[in-house]
Amino acid sequence: MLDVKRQDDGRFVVQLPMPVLLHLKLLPERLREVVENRDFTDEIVRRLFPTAYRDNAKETEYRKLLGEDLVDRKLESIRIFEEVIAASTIQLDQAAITIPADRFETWLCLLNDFRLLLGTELDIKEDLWREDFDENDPRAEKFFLLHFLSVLEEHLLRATEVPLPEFGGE
Amino acid sequence: MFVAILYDGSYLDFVLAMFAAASAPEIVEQPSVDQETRSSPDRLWNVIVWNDPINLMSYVTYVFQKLFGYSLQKATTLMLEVHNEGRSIVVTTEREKGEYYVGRLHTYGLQATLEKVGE
Repeated sequence: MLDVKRQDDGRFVVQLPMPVLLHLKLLPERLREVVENRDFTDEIVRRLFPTAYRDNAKETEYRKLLGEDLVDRKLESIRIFEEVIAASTIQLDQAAITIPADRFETWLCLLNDFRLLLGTELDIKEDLWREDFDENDPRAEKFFLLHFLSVLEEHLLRATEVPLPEFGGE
Repeated sequence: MFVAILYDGSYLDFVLAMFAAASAPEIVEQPSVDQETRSSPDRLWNVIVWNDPINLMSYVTYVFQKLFGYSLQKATTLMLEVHNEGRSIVVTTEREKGEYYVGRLHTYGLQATLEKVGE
């Protein structure tokens, strides 16, 4: 099952099923490939590296000055994410991941990048994507992974000290 | 934006069951205006966040609080404006600082742009 707890020292301990851990071990490589290639004809790249200006000249100038920063940050985030995952422990069919306090923000951003990657690959255009998805769709496994990562992200956010609005249960 | 609240577990159980069955993977307050730029409106830029269907509403609210130091109330108001109106001006500031904020918002995975005030 999924469980997220924030320890007194600020560490986050995440317990999740082994199949999800296997996906979390594979996703960084997929994302690294996207970030390193940066083919802007690819919608995923455009989603992960959004434009800052509508004006083309300003956008070009911005990318020249700051574009590489975002690339470097994402590559460093991938490295940190992999480091944390590599230190996970396994017991029976459950895995435990410990996210140090000083790595949490980076980890959260990358988890969200995985969601953006999967969501873009699934061509999600509507807010109510979960309700609209057919579980018999051949892309179901990718959908379930996106959904699980959404739940994980929600649990991580709720475990922080930052207050969040209540939206009501489902 | 999307809401993911699944604490009662029924749907989550279903998702987990799907994973278990699967083989190993194949592979509003007004926007803030920085104090030092209040006297020079011609140099002001709006940082705009745009709606998208993948980012969680809670995540966007979290980012606004962490990045801008906004209260829960203000962060929620801005998030809902993004969600309902499609976009929201989250801060108005000098261009250089605006670019910094846009870079940070992009790092968080939010779609954000800069527009000069009045354009």
